[in-house]
Amino acid sequence: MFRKLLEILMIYSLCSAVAMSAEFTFDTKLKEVTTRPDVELVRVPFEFQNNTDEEITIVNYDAPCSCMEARMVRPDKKNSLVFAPGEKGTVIGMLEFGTFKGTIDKVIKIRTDKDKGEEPSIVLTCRVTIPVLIATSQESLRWKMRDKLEPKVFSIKVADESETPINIVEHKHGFGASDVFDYKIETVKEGREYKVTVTPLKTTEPTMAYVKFYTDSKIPRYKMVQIFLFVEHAKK
Amino acid sequence: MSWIKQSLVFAGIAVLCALGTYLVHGEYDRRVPCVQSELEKYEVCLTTVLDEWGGNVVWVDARADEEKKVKIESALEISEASADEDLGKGEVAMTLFNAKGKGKKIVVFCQTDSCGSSKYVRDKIIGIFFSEENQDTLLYLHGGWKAIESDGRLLGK
Repeated sequence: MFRKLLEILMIYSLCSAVAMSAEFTFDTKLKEVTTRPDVELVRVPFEFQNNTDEEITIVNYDAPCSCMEARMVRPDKKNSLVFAPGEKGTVIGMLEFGTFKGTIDKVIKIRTDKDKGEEPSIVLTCRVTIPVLIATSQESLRWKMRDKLEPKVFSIKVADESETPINIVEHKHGFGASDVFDYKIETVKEGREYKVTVTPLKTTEPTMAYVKFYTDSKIPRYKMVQIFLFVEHAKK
Repeated sequence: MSWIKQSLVFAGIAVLCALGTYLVHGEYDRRVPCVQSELEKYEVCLTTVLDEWGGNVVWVDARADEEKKVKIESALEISEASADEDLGKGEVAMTLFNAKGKGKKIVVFCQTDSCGSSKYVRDKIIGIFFSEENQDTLLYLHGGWKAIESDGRLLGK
């Protein structure tokens, strides 16, 4: 009886191992996409094929981020998640980014009936870059307490890939910054580059402030850039 | 012994094992498992935050708006899609500045481990509020909201 049981267990283990290796073939599991600056919705398709000699069923597919939705389409137009040997499909990541700019990775997870582990075996990564058309040369300026009241300079530059100039049309202090910091903005090249000089008026206590610069860009994600200003405790 | 009897014996043993496990370990633990040795740099377990630090941290909720059906009331809201705008809000920026000044820990969470938003928001906070020092007071939560929800202690706070 125990010999028979052992045989059954061995056959089961062998079958499991074969089943575990059955997986879809993807051209790539990482897709890098650079979008237009004004993009609102990005579509990232991942094509795959069942190159095994077994049927594979997609149990579920999901994007664990609310900014992305995953969709499944098949060239044969069948409404089925069961893929016979040789059949093809496409998983499409649909990403919405609000005012985001820069580079970000988002994943789609696919679980098939061959998966045995807790985590789905197929993880697809969408690496999306939304161009940064206007940016400050640094995100913050810092002084230490009791530092001399010396000015610091940063620039605001419009990227060469911006087809049109982006002009600074308004700027303002925040958090009562006018009591602690003074700033002067100069145009280096209209719609392309600005130089900003910030001078602290006192460095006697820790302070935080910002200056926001509003632009005439028609694209919401480039309508504002900001810099934070700090007077910090001297390092102990 | 017929195959029916053999099956019944195996089934009986399985039931006894299951019962024994229940009696020894209690109900199934639905909390998100977190193993210290498997954490990435700057990643932290919820049990560390609540049990070792007494929950005395600034929470940063990096979930998207549509995911925030239930919230931690005291948490700052900085979503990935509008991080620049959110960080420029007075209360958010001032709370982060004060926390950094006092060396208070800041813990960012998003919906799940794989959403990636908490790491992104952490990097944004680092870029603005932290220079090269003190970065180890800014962490992100292993398991994200799933860990908070399954633990339950922070809900309604």
